[in-house]
Amino acid sequence: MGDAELTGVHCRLDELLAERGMTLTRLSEEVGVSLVNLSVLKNDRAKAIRFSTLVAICEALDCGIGELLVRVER
Amino acid sequence: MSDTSTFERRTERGVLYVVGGGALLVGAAAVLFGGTQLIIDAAGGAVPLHLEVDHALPDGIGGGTATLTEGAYDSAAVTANGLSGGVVTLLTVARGFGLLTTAAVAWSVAWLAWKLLRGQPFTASVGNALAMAGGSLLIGGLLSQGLGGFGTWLAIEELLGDVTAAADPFFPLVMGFDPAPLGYGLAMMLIALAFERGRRLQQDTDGLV
Repeated sequence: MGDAELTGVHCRLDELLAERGMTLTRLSEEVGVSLVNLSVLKNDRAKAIRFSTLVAICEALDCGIGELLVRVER
Repeated sequence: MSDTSTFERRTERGVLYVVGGGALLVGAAAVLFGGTQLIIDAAGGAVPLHLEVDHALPDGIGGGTATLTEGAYDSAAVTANGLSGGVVTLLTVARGFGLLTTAAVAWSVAWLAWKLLRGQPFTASVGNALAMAGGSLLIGGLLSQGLGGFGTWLAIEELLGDVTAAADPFFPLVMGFDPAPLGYGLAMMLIALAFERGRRLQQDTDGLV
């Protein structure tokens, strides 16, 4: 069972970054969240996310919260 | 990283090494030297006692430029021999509880220092160690003082005979009680609760981005 199946939430950061041609390092610089934390989020290893982090990422990627986080079957 | 924060980190680590190492040494000394002395005393029948006395100082003390205006003896360190087996056992057990309490507290402090050095202070083992140290101080303090005081009474009886019949016995039957270990024990248990709360908070933020 993958990490997303454990939490029931999949983070589409990888796909959104690819669509915008943006790197994780660039996103990290824009939103002020460490590369380590963004990697945790990207690989579905995060167990919780701050509203401030969520909003900052969505603003930087110009997307909605529902586009970034989607539910998966557990 | 700035020079100030590097200096602070090094100082912090230095303090933790000194405190942790010192606690380990104190604990080891209590078990090794204190334990050995305890066994030697118990086997030989010679028991060190701290007895309360209330006698005036002898006349003629002095000779310097300052003078004594008043003074009295309030305790005497003696070594008793030939006490009955029950009294020796009681006093030995009381001293043993004192040593075990010292060792438990020292081990807990050393463990906390080690976990702080490794950057993992909020773990179950630290909370358990602090709670155990607090409990040891409470129980050990009570037992050590209670058994020690009662044993000392019995020892005085065996040393001086029926002291209750004497008008002014050299060693009166009094029992002092020091509440400090109980206070320290309760304080340590509160700290253990705080660490347990910290552990839960850390658990809540684990995986938070």
